[in-house]
Amino acid sequence: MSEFMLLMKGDDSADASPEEMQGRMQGYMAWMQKMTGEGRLVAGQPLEPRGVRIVDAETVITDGPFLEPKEIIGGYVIVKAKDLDEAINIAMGCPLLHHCEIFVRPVFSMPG
Amino acid sequence: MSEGSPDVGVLVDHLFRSEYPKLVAVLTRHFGFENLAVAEDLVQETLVAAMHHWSVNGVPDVPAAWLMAVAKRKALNHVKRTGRKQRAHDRIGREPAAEQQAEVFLESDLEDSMLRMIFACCHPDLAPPDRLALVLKILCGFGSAEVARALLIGEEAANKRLYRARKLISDGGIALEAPGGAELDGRLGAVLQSLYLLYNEGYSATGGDELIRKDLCLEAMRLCRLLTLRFSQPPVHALMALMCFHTARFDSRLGNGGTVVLFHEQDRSTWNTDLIRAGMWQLSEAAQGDAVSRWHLEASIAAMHCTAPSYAQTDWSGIRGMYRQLNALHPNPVLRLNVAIITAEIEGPEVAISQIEPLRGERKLARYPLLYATLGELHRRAGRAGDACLNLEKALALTSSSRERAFYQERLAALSA
Repeated sequence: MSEFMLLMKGDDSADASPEEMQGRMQGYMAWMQKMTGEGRLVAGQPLEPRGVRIVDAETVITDGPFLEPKEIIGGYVIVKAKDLDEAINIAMGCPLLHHCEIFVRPVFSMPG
Repeated sequence: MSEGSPDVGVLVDHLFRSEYPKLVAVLTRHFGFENLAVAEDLVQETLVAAMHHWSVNGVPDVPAAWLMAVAKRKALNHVKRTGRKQRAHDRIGREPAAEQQAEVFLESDLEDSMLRMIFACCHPDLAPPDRLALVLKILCGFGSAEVARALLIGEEAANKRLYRARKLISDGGIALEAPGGAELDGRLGAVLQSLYLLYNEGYSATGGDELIRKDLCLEAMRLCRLLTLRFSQPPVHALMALMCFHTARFDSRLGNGGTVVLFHEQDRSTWNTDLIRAGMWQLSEAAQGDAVSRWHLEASIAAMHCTAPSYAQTDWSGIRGMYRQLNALHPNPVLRLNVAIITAEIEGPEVAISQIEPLRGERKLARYPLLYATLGELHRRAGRAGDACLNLEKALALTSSSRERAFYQERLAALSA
């Protein structure tokens, strides 16, 4: 099994009502629970919608507040999967896909 | 949802919606009302954080406390980030220690923050329709699409109202405080008026999304109850009583399949006796002092209906007297129509029709379907099926509610049978 990082980018939740947010969360929770049940979930956390971008030792750019919600990376999840195809399938089943795009990045691991 | 799983926990329905106003109220109190939008953004971020965090780590034992703690931390971070520009920073920033900053939030009393918010959202400088939209958005935790559905307006119109209200707020035109002294009466009047309108939006319309509209009534009651705790004044209790009595009859107003059930056909055994008792208690609290408000009169009318053993045994002349007092206090052709409807019970349909005919000329009633529905019913009782049909057809043409339309069609079919 390899590990894959799922990055949730472009959160459109700024316009969602509290009721809609709760509905989304319930779908997301069910998905997470399935991940946990299948022993796939390694880690996951929300990210603050701001931070810095360090370009080089002299250049640190404040990232956010974002004018475009689609620039925000809302959170990440690390899951275990056999290969990239399986990881893609997992991400396809994530209900947040309706509200953001998901980057699927294999976590590099040393062979052997 | 994931019931039976201890590590995820079960979420209370509408938890986000019911916590949202509290979080916004507490944060706004520290940022100032002109920075309402900042508070709303931070609360929205809090909900997003909850979604990600709870999904991985499970729902915390006390979700509301988690949300409040995270919202406050986000607020303090915001203050640190934005420097001295914000009023909140001036206020909190005097004490540099983080523990002391947290202290400021501890002192803040949630109830107090909510009450200030109620007065601010119902400020007389805001146009009444804008107030309603704002109350739904800020005090009830509705999204703008939900505000639109609740008020039976388009989303664009809802956003326009919210925009106008927000503009006035961000310009600093409205203070976030519960007024006292001489100012209180007038301000309280504006609040009660807004809560009454909110309740009425939910109560009187039979169209739209039934569920969300019943929610409107419950939201209005929740806010009014909060008001009674701190402003235990006769009109506040009177409005609360009125809402209790009306809500007690909720389930009897719609028949199977959601059809309209006329008042005299309602099954009184389905009326909620707990709410009627609560209403009577509120009405007795409202009886202090000698000022009689419209809420007193409307609540008394509702109480007489709720406590009458049957439709036939209703104290019609007592109720008519109350309606007349109400019309003297706030002259309104709809009240005169009500007086005439009661008159029909006491003196028969002909007298009532003679009282209603002059009302046809009232501009306010020109497109009011109930005027014609009433005339139709009275002519039917007087044995004039032809006149009854003419009036019912007019009511049918004027109504925009599909439930009412079905009801009038049924009446028409019965008359021509």
